[in-house]
Amino acid sequence: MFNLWQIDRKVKELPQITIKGKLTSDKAKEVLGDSNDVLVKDIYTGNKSVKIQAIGIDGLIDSDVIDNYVLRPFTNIALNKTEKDLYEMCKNGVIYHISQKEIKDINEAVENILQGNTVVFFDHLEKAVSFDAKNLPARSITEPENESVLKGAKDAFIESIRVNTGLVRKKLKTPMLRLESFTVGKEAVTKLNIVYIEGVTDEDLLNKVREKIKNIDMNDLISAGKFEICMKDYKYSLFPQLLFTERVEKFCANICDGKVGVLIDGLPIAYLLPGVFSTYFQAPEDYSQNYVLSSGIRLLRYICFIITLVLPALYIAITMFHHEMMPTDLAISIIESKEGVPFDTAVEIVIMLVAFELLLEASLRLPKTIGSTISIIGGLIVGEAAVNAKFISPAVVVIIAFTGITGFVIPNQEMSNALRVCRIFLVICASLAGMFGISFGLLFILYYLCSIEVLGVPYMVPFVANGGKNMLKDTIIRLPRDLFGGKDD
Amino acid sequence: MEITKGKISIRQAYIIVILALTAPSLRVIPNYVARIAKEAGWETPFLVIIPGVILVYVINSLFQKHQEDSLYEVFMSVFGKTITKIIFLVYGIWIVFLCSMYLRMFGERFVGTLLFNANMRALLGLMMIFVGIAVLKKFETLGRLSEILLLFFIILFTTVTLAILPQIHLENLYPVTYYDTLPVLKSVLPVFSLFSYITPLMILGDKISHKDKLKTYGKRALYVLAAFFLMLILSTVGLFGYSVSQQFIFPYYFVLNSVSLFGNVERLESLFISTWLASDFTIVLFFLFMAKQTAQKLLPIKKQIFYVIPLCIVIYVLAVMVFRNVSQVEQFASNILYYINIGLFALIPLIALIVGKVRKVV
Repeated sequence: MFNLWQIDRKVKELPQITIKGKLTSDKAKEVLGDSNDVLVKDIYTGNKSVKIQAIGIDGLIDSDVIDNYVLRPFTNIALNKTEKDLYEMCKNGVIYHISQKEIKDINEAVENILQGNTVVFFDHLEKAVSFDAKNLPARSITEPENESVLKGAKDAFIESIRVNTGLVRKKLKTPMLRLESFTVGKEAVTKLNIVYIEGVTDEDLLNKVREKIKNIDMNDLISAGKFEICMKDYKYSLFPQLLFTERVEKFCANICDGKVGVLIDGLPIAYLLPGVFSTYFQAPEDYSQNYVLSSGIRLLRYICFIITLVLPALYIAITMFHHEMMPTDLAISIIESKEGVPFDTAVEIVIMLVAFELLLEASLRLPKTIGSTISIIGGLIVGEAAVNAKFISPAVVVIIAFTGITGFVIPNQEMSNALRVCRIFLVICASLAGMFGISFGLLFILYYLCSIEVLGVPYMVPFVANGGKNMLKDTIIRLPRDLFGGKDD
Repeated sequence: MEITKGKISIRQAYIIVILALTAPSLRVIPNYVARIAKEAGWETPFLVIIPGVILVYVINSLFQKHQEDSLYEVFMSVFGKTITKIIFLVYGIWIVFLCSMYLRMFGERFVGTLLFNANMRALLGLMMIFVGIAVLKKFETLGRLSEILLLFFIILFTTVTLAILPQIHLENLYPVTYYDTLPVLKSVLPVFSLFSYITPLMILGDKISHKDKLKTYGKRALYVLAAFFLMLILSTVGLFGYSVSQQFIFPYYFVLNSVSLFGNVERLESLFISTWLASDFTIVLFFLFMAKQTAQKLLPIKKQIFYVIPLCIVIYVLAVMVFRNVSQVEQFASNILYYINIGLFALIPLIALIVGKVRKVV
């Protein structure tokens, strides 16, 4: 399922499944194979030469609806009718169902059955009609697990695309809301919808999103990572380029701001495009609090971003290369704390960073009930023991702890992960050339960030390429909307 | 300002110039102004605005009818093919030379202040590789990078100036009498020669959009630079006096050395100096982009890699071989560089404007 490495290896890819044959129930049964969840129901017409069959998949269809509103009316009218009569009657609304459509070929028929529709085949005519009466297994709408807020709506996306589109419609009651449907995947077909507001979203951006989705060349789109890698312009970049959320409220707010949303069947999250740098520092609470407080917290996040990125490297540079920068008292206290420690500061920092990553990884893998054990073992027992045993100096423990805490302040986990890698890169630079190394590393990272474009939008917008406008509207601080004419720009 | 794909805006172009100029300004301006204009040196930034504005007007007039063109096309229409090719050949050689000089200056600054034991050749090689890779990428990236770095530099300079303000001795900045007029006017020359880099910037004119706002943003850039130069001179001459300032090769280093934040955080020169790497990177990359563009105009080679690699090698070799030490660079700068800069980047555009007006092509 998570074999992303297959993406660039053509030999491993499954061939595009194209079914050739007549539009008949026999052909459909042959393609679907001998699966016990495939339901086939003959419709009796009183004429043995007439063959009408309904096919659906148990567990995906709503049996009550199909029985009462499709099969029963058919049976009632079917006696002594020809197949053509029945097909015409069915087409003209005798079988009343809000969502029914004519099927063009066997491929479409099979795809409809797999999506949870029931398809009625008229074998001799080689025609078929699909009835949308799904009853897909889905959990109920719950609170978001990773993006909880104090003030705000509590509904989160679930795995069913139709429920998710309904949630969006419920929030955005505008006639200009558009949902475009796509099917992706050669083997396991997955439905996805792009969501936008006509007139608000840039048409160029929309076309680029459509193009990208059409070009998705995957066997399936079951995992989120596969979609992300297909949509990224810079596939090998560390930095996230797609913003995702499980909150309906956040999704809708971004759609109103002109972003393009993507809902994928089977994923309890929604994507927002383009995901530029500043959006990864925005949290839902920012908009439900006073702007002064929100601005302060936002500013704090950016400061934490810098601290978590450079603090370990800065500590190495100061203690190993530029001692003169330290105030005398601080220098004495660091020297005292390092007494008896056999390692270089750079080695100490690297050991502690690796230990921190290990703790983080271990706590992710453990069940929630015993997850706290790791912090006790790691933080208190191992940390304390390592300091007492003079493996590590207490100053380094403080530096790494502070780095970790500041890293967690960043609301987006993917951005936080990218920073973890950059941090290690800067530590190496600082170990080699002190402050010069840090500057060189930072310049490299910044240059790279400036070179990235997400669907044609520079990643560092609005800090760059925007004529100096809106740099402070909703970035480092969050200004009240009144300052911008009381409307979104 | 909406930005066209594949181009940078005129605002971004000026920001690149401002950022690129911070590196040579730090070395040149306090030292040079203290030597020529003495305690009246702080008047120089105000006076440099005059020739600066004239140059902006000249460039603006040249591009009035050539909004989508570069300087090469403008010169083509003014001087014809042969003279333009000769001018661009001279420009190309001079730009390569300047690029190697700034590369060497970067090395000298770091080896002389931060990385005492570093191998100069390795340091220059590292920078050249980084710049060489960057020049193969989009020009827009440099524009975007400069926008961010400029903000950072403004914060940095303002912090340093505010921190150093209580230590400035006003007696180092006066008396100013009418006897200072001529020295001050003379000291305008090196400062203006740096600002004249807006002319070679227009070699990349076909990659710059919104040239109709060339005048507006040009004047703004000039004011920002004048403010920056003023801060430099005030903090250096004001702190040490002109007699001491003119003795230092890199006087601003000692200003940074004297910075004290909240009376507790001191000796931050390593931090400040290392940030100058960004400006060094910008100026070397900026000149390399111009050298690449000039080569592109003069040579019939399509693939950029074929002239970028030789250019990088030539620049590196010149930086290592031609300049032997920091004093030599300094001598070269004060005796030759400014005059050639003004001749090439200020007088030639002026001549082009006059000829162009006579021929009614600009």
